[in-house]
Amino acid sequence: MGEENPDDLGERIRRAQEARKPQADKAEETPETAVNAGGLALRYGTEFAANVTVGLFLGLIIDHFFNTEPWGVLIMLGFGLAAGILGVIRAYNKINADIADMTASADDRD
Amino acid sequence: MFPTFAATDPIAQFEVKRIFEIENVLGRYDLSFTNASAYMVLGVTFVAGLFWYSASRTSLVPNRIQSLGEIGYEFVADMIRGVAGEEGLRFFPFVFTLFFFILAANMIGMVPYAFTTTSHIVVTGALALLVIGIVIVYGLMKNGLGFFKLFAPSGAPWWIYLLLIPIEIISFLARPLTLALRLFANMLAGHIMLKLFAGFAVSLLGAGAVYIPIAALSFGMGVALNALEFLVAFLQAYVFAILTCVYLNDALHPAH
Repeated sequence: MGEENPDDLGERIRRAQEARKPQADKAEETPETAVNAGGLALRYGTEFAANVTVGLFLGLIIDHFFNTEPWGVLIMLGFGLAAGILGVIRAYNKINADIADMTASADDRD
Repeated sequence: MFPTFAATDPIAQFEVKRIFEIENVLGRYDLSFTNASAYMVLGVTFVAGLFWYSASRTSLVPNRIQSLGEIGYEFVADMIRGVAGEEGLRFFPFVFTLFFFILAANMIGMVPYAFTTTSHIVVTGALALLVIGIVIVYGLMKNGLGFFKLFAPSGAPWWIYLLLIPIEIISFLARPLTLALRLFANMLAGHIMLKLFAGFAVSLLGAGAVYIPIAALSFGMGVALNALEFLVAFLQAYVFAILTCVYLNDALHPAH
């Protein structure tokens, strides 16, 4: 820090202010996934399994309270699967965007 | 647990043991102080002590421990600003505490023979429920019924909503689950792998001189995994905190 040229202080302030701007489109930055394949697998897996599980339990709850067995489970499990696939697609798009960002910023530095 | 196996048993490290017992609170709850509780207290004490010390003797030109505190503050503040904007900073104390609690728990878990509290889904699940509870309560307080626009993104024909709303509700309810599962699974899997490779090395050495090359391979793998696990320990704390910011952002601005 100390060795940096004091003349570029203005530049550093500008950069610091730039960094403070909200970047809602860059939300949900998860660099974990760009690091190793295991993290990637875990990410997709939990995303899918969690959505299907939630769908299943919602179905069971609906069946329990409205005596609609087995329709609640069948329908909500379908929605759960759809939500799971949606979750995986969202994660996938997010990861690709992150990787694109990373390579872009790496190019900037060169 | 047989003492002879305990040395190489990859699961033994996750065993919760009671340190002193507080049973039958209100007739049914077991609030015993366990090793998990002890390591959580240790983590909290460590973080609190570190930041208290870093803030206790401040100077304009910060010393090392003070810059550590400042870097920690800036890191979390930038993370919240980046995702949720200036408005999100009202949650700064929450996200800061969450991030450093998980980071401390993960890092303490990397010390050999230490207990990793975040490798238990009870702990990560409680943290995730806390996050989603705050999102729901604050979202409803701030936006009233407008919070439910979260489940109906605007600009679709009406019949799409029949499919979209249940799917969005399920996605929302799955959030705490993925949040808890991801931290828990990463820590659990990582620590089992570490123990397995280290255990292989020891068992192979004990089996005879012929196995020394394989033992060395296993040991090398253990060393490499150790480095990876340090990265994972930090990254999972970061991911937990940043996803918290994303969900809090939804509570602040549900319609978008």
